[in-house]
Amino acid sequence: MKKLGFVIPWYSENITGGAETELKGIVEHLAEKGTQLEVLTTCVEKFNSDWSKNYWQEGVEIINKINVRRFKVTGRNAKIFDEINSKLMANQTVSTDEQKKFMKNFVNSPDLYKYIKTHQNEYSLFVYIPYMFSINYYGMLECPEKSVLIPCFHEESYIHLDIYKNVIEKIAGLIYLSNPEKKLANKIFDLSNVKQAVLGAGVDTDFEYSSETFRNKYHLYEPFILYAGRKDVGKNIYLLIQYFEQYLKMHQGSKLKLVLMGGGKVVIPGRLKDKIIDLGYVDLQDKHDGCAAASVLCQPSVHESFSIVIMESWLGERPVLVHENCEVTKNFCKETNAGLWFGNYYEFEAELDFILNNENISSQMGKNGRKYVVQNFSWDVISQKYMTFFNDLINIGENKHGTKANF
Amino acid sequence: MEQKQTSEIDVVKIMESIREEIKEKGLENEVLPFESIPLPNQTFDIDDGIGPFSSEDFMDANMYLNQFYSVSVWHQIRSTKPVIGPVLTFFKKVNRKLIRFFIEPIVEDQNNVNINVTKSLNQIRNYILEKDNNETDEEEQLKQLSLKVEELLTRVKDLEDENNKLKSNSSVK
Repeated sequence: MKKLGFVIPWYSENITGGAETELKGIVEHLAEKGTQLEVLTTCVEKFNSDWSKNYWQEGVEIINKINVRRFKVTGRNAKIFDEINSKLMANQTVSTDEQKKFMKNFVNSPDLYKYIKTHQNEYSLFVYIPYMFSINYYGMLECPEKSVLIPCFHEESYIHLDIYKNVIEKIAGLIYLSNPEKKLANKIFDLSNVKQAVLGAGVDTDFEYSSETFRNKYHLYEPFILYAGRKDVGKNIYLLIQYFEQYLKMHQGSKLKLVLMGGGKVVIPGRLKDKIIDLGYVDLQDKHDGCAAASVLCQPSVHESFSIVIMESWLGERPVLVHENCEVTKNFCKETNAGLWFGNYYEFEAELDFILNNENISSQMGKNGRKYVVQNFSWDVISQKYMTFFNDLINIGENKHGTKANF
Repeated sequence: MEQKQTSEIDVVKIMESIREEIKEKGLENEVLPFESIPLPNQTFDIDDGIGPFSSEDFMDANMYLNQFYSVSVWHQIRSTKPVIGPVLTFFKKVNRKLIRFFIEPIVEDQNNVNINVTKSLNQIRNYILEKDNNETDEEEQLKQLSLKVEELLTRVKDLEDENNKLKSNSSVK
């Protein structure tokens, strides 16, 4: 087996973001097990940076023993991109011509595409994450028979763009993070010629946690709902705040609190300042301790491809409450028997009461969750599943394309 | 995904019994339906705009603006009250129809303002990004020039040394 090339628009030692940290985890754990691999990326600093600015030096850099090969990005017309992107965000239809312009003015590195084309014989496979970025789109077009995509699909306007069909239906493999993601992909694309597998994402399971340490550190001795993650409108944080306030109105004298962890800004109404505690960024250990100390973790977002935070809550042996309209998190609750889902306020209230008033069941739900995460998503398990998938693909590629594709 | 898990707890059954209980209590109409959750007026968050310029905050706010600049005149009308709920909903819908002629132009005007605010801020954003790029180019040019000056200084020093040597040699002779 030759080396694997993992392609992502940006990569650095302290990279943040769901897909980015997932890829970092995969490459570092696979490399630890002796897999030859490289990360192919651009000189852009991170998602929030200017996508035409070459922040990092072009060339090879070694990050945590991983070879990271960086390529320069080219200029782009942000105005054209924004206009089309606004339409997509408002769920408006965009023409084929607009789709092409959208891709052309996204984040692009012709040097990277040329490298993939001319050096493809040095790699067994190229693994791309996530589907949306033009870097991955054009990269996969250069060598579809050796391309594997970890798409991180969820229901949104971008997934319905015809332009993605041109390439996604021709690649070698697709790795999903959950069963609903696979279902969604097969509803939109014809994937009869693509090898697919639901492998999930890797989660750090090897840590200790103490609810007592968290309670003492933050002086939180009352029961609380935990929200962990970026405090963003898109994550439905205000739905949770409104429902929590309504719950307090219906349960006068309740000592229940809502604890928020993570970046981003949230406006907490003055009347709730002593009921909602915003801890901001906390270190990883505090997060694990907090998950174990919470009565329940609430994940109100409807746009999740995996949701590491619900896995972390389960590792702390606590149940979760998720939004009914998020197929991914709801499905995980069903698979684990470790969480409930709400479709309206009354369900939120009743489920919260159920969890708070039935500690034996809540505790068992939390244990179910932990067992499920350790069995399915610990890094040893994930690394093994990914390598089996890659090896199968390489065998299929060799049989199908022989020496031509030179796997 | 294979479910490697056994448990006596069945969350689907728990959900069914919770929903049954809600139904029995007659709580079928929604309190705070998902569409009605109001967003706080973020513009007037007391912490915003205070402190040094943050490119990240600016980009976040700009992305939000590009996403939500268009305000919709239409929103779902529902009632939380049992029995009379449908009647209330009906009257609210009639009211909505009656005041449409008055509300629609206001919303349209507001959307025009929003579009222009968004466009202006996009221009400012592009200006900042261009400036950033230019600064990087200028920094690079400055670096190159400094290197050249350093090279020239070394060369001058070498020539001076050589000259001094030649001078001392000729004086010895």
